[in-house]
Amino acid sequence: MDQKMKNFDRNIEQMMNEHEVTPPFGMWNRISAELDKEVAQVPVSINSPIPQRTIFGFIAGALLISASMMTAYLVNDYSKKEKAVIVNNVVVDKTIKTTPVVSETPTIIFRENTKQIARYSKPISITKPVEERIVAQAKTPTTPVQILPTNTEVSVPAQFIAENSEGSEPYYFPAIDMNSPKTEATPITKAVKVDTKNPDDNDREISSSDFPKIKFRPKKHRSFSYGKIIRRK
Amino acid sequence: MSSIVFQGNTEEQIREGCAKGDRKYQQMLYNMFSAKMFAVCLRYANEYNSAQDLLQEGFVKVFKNIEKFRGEGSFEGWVRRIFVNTAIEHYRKQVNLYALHDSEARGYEFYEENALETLKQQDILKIIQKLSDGYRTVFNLYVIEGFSHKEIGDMMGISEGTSKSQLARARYLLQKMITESVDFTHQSQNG
Repeated sequence: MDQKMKNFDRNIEQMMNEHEVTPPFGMWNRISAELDKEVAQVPVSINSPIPQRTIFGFIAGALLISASMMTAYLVNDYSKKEKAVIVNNVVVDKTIKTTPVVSETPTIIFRENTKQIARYSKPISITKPVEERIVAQAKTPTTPVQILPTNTEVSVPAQFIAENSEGSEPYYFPAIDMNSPKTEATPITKAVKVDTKNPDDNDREISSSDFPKIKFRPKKHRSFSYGKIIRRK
Repeated sequence: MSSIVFQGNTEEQIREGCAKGDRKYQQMLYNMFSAKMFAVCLRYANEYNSAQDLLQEGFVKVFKNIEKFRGEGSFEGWVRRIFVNTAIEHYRKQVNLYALHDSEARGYEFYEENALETLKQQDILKIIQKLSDGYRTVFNLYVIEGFSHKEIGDMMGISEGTSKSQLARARYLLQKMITESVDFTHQSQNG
């Protein structure tokens, strides 16, 4: 039985190995077309490294941009926190980093100092130039001092400006608001400048220097009281 | 190793031309092996159109991988092995394995050894094509290509015992169909 099977296999093997079948006529055209497709697909995948580079370039660029934006966001957030701590009450300019802050800080200090000057050093800053001016006026004999007797309510000093003015009406000083810091701060700075250069240009200094009762002004602030309370037994 | 001369070109020249992608040499190679390889494809395929697909796929693989041929053994054997592997890959998932009966394992009892002599090659090829994919593939690999059951099992992803049983079943069906066809031819000649 085994020998029968072996002979069967051998016979079939010989017949099949010797057997040749001619393929149909259009078979080569099909194979050639398939090879053309393979050749057409190869350059897209292998011979074109430029799209891959561009893809990698885009990816790298996107990563760089995202990293720079992230760092910029973190730096900006950190600087905002620093500004909030250091310049807490400054409202004017937050954006400028170096120079505007330097230019604004004196203004902040200026306000605080003006209040202090207005309270404590006001007689010093104002009266000194006034005394110097009185001495200067005494030395100059050209303008004698005259007091107007008609005005009883407000004591008006004799001023050379009022004399030089063409009108016959007396000159009244403008009311000074002591509570407003601006009106007091600006004349102090101007008064310093005027004393060094040209004292005749400042009207406020002139008015304060010619005021005879200028010594009463600080007394009004200091000596004001509600009085003593006397309790009856 | 003797080189085959085909249309005035040696086999090496044809291989080099195919490696360069020259369509002229590719067509020469096709003309050299197309008839033999198409017979192989017909043995592994169950119909004519499937054999054409196998032939096309096999030649495309040959032209793409012809640079890998290192000159060890015959070039025709290398090309044939590519076609066999292509057929195995094609029918690997379609293999339908049937259970084997004891009577089928012993072979067909009424088979006569002289029956093959009365049939032509094309008739035997048609009978082989009537087998199922699993039977036909195992039969072709073992009987015609000369692989062992272990190699067949590795190639097809089946066990060695399964390959043996498939071969026995294929042999039983072939003997039975050959006997029936011989009887049919005798009856037609006598009648």
